[in-house]
Amino acid sequence: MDYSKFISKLSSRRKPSCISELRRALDNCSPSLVWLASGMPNPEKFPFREMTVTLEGGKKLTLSKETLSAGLQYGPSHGYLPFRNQLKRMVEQWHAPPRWAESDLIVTVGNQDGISKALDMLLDPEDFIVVPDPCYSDFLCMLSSLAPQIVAVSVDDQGMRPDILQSALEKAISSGSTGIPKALYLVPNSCNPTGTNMGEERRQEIYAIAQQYDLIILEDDPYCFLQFNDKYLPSFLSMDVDGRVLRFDSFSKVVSSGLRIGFVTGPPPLLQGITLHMQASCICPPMLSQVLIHELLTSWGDEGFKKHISDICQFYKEQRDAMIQALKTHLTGICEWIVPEGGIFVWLKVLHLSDTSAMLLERGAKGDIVLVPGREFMVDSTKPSPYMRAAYSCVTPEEMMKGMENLAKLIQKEIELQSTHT
Amino acid sequence: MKYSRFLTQVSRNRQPSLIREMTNLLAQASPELVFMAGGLPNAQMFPFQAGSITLKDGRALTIHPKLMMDCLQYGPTPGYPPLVKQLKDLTQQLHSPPRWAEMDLIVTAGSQDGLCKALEMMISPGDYVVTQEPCYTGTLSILKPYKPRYLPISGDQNGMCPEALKAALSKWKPEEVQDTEKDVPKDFPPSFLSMDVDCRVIRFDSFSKILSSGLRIGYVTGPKPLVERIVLHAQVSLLHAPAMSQVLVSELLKLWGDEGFFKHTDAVQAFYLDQRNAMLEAAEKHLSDLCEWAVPTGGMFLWLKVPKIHDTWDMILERALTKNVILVPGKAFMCDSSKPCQYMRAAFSIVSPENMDKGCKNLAELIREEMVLQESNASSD
Repeated sequence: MDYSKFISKLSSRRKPSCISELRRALDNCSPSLVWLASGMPNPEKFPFREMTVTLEGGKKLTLSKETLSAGLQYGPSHGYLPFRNQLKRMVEQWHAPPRWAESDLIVTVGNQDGISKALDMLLDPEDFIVVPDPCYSDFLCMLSSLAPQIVAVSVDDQGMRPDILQSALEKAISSGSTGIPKALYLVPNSCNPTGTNMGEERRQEIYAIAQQYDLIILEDDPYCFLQFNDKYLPSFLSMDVDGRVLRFDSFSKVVSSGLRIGFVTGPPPLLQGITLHMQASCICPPMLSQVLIHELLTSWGDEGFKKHISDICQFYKEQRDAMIQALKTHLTGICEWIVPEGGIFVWLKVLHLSDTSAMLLERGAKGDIVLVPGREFMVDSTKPSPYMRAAYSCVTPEEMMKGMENLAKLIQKEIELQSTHT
Repeated sequence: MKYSRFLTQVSRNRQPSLIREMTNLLAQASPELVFMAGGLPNAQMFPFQAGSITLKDGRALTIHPKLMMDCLQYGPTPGYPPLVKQLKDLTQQLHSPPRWAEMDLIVTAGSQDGLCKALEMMISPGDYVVTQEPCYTGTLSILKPYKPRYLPISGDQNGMCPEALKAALSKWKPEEVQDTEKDVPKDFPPSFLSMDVDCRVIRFDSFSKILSSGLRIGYVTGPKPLVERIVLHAQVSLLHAPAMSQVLVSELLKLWGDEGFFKHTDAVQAFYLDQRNAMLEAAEKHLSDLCEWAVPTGGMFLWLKVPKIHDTWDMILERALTKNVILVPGKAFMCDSSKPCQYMRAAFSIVSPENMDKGCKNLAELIREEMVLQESNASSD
């Protein structure tokens, strides 16, 4: 595939730093080489000497001197090599990408930074990007600053509708714009905010349309390990015969959100654009964070990782069940919802209100319940939305019951308020 | 000061992420509030429970379970609040910015990410950029995609020459561009932040040279409206600087107190002074008839000029490896990379005194051979 057409004008002007070019000399050099090139600070003066972490279950991980040193010094822009190699093995194992030999993987500062830099790399202002509607709100925030042309595609209980996608793309192409449809963004598992999963057949349909219109697919998949029914749907990466998928993975829901570690898999010419931007900004992803996760995964092995995933799925499944119970108890007849098969969100529709924003933002806190208004996730945020997003990850079952009781009262009051106004 | 004229359209377009704004509500919320707005994972499911770091002086930093949660969970975009407070106190102490009340300070994933976001906030393709020359390659990397029109200002041992700066800016009327004129005392120069009566300085600080480069922790101080734009960019990209790194730096600063911190920076200074002295000795021994240099009064670099070589680029990138020495050709630091450059940058931070001697000896051989090559190329033309 020719990737040059996908690269924005700005991104095409990024060049590797001279120092990173010089570093390649280190690969085949003699041990007598005197290296006076990079401005690395001397680690002798870093005050940290040893580090031990205690894992759940009491096991202790002690970082060796070399490992801690690696954690404290600048590292490669595309990630700590042992960690990258570990992740590559895992990706190959889980997805068996059809073009694995022509793919690469880089570590990013959380998966969202990868996505942000991918957008910077791909989009000129006149270009089109396809998004589901509703869409993850932070992604819409990224788009609102770049201001590309947005192709919004309505969803059903499996996500983006192929028929609407097709007609929206036709409309974009015949609009006479100088830009081209470049990319398609989606969250195929436990979509944020709707909580829906895109079925296998639907994925193949979407991939075929992406082929037809030559789009890059941005597969944002932070909830892939939070699926409750042990059925893993094949990823877009696993069906990527063309090399048009950039897959964004995250450790935020599985190991830690605060360590800021994600990774991107895809074609090297596209990863290069992201890496060059990383070089100029963060220089490298946080080394200590990478070292810790690498040590953790090594200590777990495949078995330990599977067990951990099983434990967290069990936990979030119980949270979901308690949430559905609370919804049934207090919101039957007031709201509608689809039971999520994974992830941490429930997407609620209020039956007798046209918009939830004012209710939640102005009166929610006083009513002791806060959810995110649906409007926040709509491509056109001026239109009213009767939806709300509830996260059930961090509340206890008792809090859920209380919260849904409060929500029912809040909605009731709002309906009365609206009827006195009309 | 009006800041809107400094912002790109993209930066002006940035809006706060509602979900992150709602998370701020938690701070003032009643304990009865049931918060189901933020998509936070449950930190009880994170596999790290506690930790311990031993310092080189033998003392330990304990990360108890509650603190470990701060290390592992999403945090506020501007930074881990205890660290932000510590850094604000330190900045006020060191710089006493004249308009401190109108400024803000945020933690960034290394100072360069702060710099990158600040430049991306202001630079549109083709904009003018005033910079000293030579200029740090990281800055040039950030700017290169924007094809800026550089106004490179030559300098001397004290850096940018004010006369050259004034001359470069002279094609614009003073009311379009406000310049500030200040006498800079020669011993320990005060920061630009400390003299910022107009609130026009954005200052980038780093812990990379003194605590750790790999943790990725730096901080930005500047006028609130500009720092806010950087925060909005961070909200939709990396979200915040790595939490564990912030907690570790905060706990370390807490353990040390001011006294311990300055004791450490003194030790770092003394170490790099020794390194510099060893480097100068090696340079004087092997390079005094081949190179020129000014004695660096700080930092970790020696900027060498090779008057008899037309351009150091090919000499280093194509031939230096065979002589077992690598340094950075000066062209990498020039705004106009099409012009030849006689300079080279040597870092003396990590290399041992023995290797400095060897390196300078190798460099001398490299230069002599290059001079012969240059000669024969000239005569064959």
